[in-house]
Amino acid sequence: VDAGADRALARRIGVALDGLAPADLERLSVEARRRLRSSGAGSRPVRALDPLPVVIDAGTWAHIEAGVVQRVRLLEAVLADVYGPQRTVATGILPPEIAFGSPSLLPEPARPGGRWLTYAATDVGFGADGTPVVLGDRTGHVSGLGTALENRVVTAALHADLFTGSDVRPLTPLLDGLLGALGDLATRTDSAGRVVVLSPPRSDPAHESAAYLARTLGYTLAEGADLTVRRGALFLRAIGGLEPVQVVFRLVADAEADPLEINPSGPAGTPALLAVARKGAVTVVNPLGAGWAGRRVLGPFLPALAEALLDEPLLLDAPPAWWCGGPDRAAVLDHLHQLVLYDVAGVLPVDGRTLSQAGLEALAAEVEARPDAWVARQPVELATVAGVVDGRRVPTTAVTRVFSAITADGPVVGSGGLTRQEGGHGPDAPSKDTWVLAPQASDAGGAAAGPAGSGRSPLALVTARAQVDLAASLPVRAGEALFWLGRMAERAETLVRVARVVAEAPHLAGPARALGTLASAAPDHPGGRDLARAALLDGLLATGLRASVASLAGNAAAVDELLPAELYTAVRDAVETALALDSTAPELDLGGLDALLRSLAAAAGLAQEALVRGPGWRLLDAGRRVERALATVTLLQSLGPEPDAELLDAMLTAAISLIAYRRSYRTEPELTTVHQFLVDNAANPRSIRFQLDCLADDLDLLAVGPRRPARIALMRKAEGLRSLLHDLSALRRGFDELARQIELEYVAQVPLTRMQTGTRS
Amino acid sequence: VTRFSVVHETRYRYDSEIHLAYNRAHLLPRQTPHQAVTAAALLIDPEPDVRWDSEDADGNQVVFFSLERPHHYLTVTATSEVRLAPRPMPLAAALAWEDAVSAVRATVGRDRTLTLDTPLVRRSPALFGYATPSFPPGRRLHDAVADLSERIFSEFTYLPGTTTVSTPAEDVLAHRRGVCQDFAHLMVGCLRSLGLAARYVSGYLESGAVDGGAELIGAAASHAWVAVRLGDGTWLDLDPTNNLVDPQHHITVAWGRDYGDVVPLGGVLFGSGGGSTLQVGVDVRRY
Repeated sequence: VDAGADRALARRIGVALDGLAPADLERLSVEARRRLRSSGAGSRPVRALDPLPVVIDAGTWAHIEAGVVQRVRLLEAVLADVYGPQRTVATGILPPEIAFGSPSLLPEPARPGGRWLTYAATDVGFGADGTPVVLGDRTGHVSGLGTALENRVVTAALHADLFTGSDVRPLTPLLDGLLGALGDLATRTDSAGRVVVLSPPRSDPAHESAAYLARTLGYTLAEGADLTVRRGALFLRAIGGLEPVQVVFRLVADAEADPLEINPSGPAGTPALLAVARKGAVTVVNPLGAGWAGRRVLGPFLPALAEALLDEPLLLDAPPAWWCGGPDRAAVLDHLHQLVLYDVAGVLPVDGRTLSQAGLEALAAEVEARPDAWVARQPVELATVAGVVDGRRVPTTAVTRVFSAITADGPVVGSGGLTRQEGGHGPDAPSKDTWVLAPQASDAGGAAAGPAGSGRSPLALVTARAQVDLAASLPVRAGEALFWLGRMAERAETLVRVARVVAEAPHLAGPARALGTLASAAPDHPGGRDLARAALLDGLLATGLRASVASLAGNAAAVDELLPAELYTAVRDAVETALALDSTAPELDLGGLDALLRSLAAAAGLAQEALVRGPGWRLLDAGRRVERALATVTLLQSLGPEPDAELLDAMLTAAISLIAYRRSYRTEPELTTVHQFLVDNAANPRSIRFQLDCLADDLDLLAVGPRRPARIALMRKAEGLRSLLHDLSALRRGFDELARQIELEYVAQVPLTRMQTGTRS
Repeated sequence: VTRFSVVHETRYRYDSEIHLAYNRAHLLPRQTPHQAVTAAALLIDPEPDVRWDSEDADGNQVVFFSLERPHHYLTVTATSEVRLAPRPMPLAAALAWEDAVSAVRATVGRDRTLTLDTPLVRRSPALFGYATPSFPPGRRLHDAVADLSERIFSEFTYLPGTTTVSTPAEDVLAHRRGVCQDFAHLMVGCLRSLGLAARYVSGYLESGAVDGGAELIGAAASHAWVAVRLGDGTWLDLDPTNNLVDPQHHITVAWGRDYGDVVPLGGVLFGSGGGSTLQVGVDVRRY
């Protein structure tokens, strides 16, 4: 290994990146946006990815890596001590105020059998002189790993030539380490061990990163309410029944994990998670309570802790920090305007540099009132790197979150990480990739093919482990969303078709009657073009187009990690097109309606061709079939006793069956043949019989799990509707009832609301 | 030695069906240096699907249980027999209160935690300011805490329904009213603001009039008071709601950093909505 060659390679890449013209940067930024938009989770605004990676040469990285390994070992030892014998407190290294004064120290954690930390992160910046500085540690729930992985995939593609020729070290060993460590925990007790990624709710910006990580690792993504404690163990609420879970890879804070013990007024979480973890029925990674070791207030004590617990000096620098409970208090109070203050019981730091004189005085009073609760830290001036903001090159600070997986063989540090501007650590903050270069042999010089780098997909996963069949396992919440996604997509399509017919032939009573029923318009609505407009544009109609696409959007967002990006995009296009229809224009926007139908057709086609035929697809299809059957019944019921050819024509158009009908019958439409064609023709994909055949198929394949007998009965019920094909009213009742029972059986089995109780004196 | 038998019944009736319930109960009395528990049982109706009895971090008896079938009510009955030994006033109570402060500062374990902020009780200049007049330099600890207790008793109004389980001590101080839990939190906050170690105690009073005096407040339900750590490491009970120092016949169930550690019966329930009716009855008798 040759330090000169290492630096030369870094220089060469730096020159290449510096040489990008403003037009290139603009193009790369647009391209990054496009790739992020199409890579999956599309329910949120596209986050900002700076296309210029930070480049770290092999020598510098070797120092950082060793320092990160040491910190992870140290924090593991500190956790073991503070939740164990507390020797560092007894010997005065760690003040009790700092050790015990934080609510993040749980009185009764689930003590892990092996180690506290299975993964961790270290935030590293570079001081003005280029020295690496540790700005923070994360030991509880570590966010951002999914974002880092996605940044790597996108950035490697943006700079494809440079990346493959540059010997950038892959992130794969980190993922292998993580999969190995989690797999070991999962199989410790049970060979069919299942791991779930516990994510914050979809409304939380950190959800996107969690979803990407779950997809990459091949684990089920679960929110707190998807998991349930039963009979003293943890289960995933899945369509097929409760599925046991052995390991929870949690990306939520302690305070959001278990309202029974940790935070009664907090979010729903998974009640009793801590109780079953304490019993050893499930392993939470990292254990609840582990986040304690990542608090900044430990800063002043880490050097002494390293000496005491590891018998080593700390390898990486950290900003100077002082505890106000000791002799440094006076000096801190004198320099409050230059320091950042951390409260042992608080979460948000107070930056003295931003305070007014009055603010500083108030802060000083707070410190004086509880001096032992405060730690002050000197801000570090960070070196700047090139960044891209709005397509322009600007100097920015860079703090890299370096991730570690802790395996049986020790910590595996990810080569690279998630780089953001200093202070920009929200999940929506702009971020960039980090390229760590492989060491260069002295005789090779330049881009010799190292063993790790070139020629591999940036995230090729090599570890394959027995896992749950994800295609067959679906959280109930996702099943519910898919069922409604199918219904709403079909409903939107029907509304547009029937409304078009009404708009083109406003004098026909039949289609208007059908549309009024479909959109839940008032029975005395005058009909005609006004009705067509209302059905498409009035947001107050419960089953109108606007309400339907709003529900469509919500349900699609709820399962976006299960949908191919193209399908999600088609759904989103349909929603945007529908909402963009101008409700003030005097004429209906027929071009807009055409575009809407095309998007809906694209979504329907992709749902048919791009989804695995698991329970999720079956529920999606069942929703679509129920809705289509009900729409066809509505159309037929609105025909009246003696429809003329024009009306029958219009109805066949609304049911997209006109051409098929003409090819089958080659005559003017007649009531009996139209009826036969739309009800009983098993070859017509719009007929009621066809929907029943599909439903019976879907329900047959969904009938698994301990409730199989009841589910088989439901399938028989669908088959039984075939005997009612002559009676439209009975069919409507039958389909309404069937839809309700599918929902009861598979999705919203119980509309659960949470009550918090606590007796007091 | 005085013997007591205790029955503590908690009865929930739900307006609509509950499908799933998880609970933690701190309802069985613990052993203390002066209190022996000779019998204790917790009956749960309906029969829980899972029940785990254990000791928590403070050595209290805690019972976790879950009900995983539909139910419309929950009745939890704790019955116990305890013997209370007479407690002479600890000698250390006669020392200056500062001795207790420096003594606990020399410790590093759980007791030290009880001088610090906890989830429901945070030290503050306001609490410090309220407590200070009772704690002039060198005053005997006993006299200081008795004075503080007397002030809380006379300056605050016992008014159920004005506070909740999570009302912070500072709010209690500002509005000068609350129930025994609030006064206990207030006093714990005052003592900790002075550097003393204080814990929150949950338990029972003897029902009815005792020793010819007036009936004590809180006798019909579970009660809460405070204990302060003395210089010798022993603890002195203080009941600001009834203005008692070292009450002899308070039956201890559990103690912790604050109410959150020793909630008598706390749970998370899932059902189809609607409210619930709660009835709590406590019966304490000598035998």
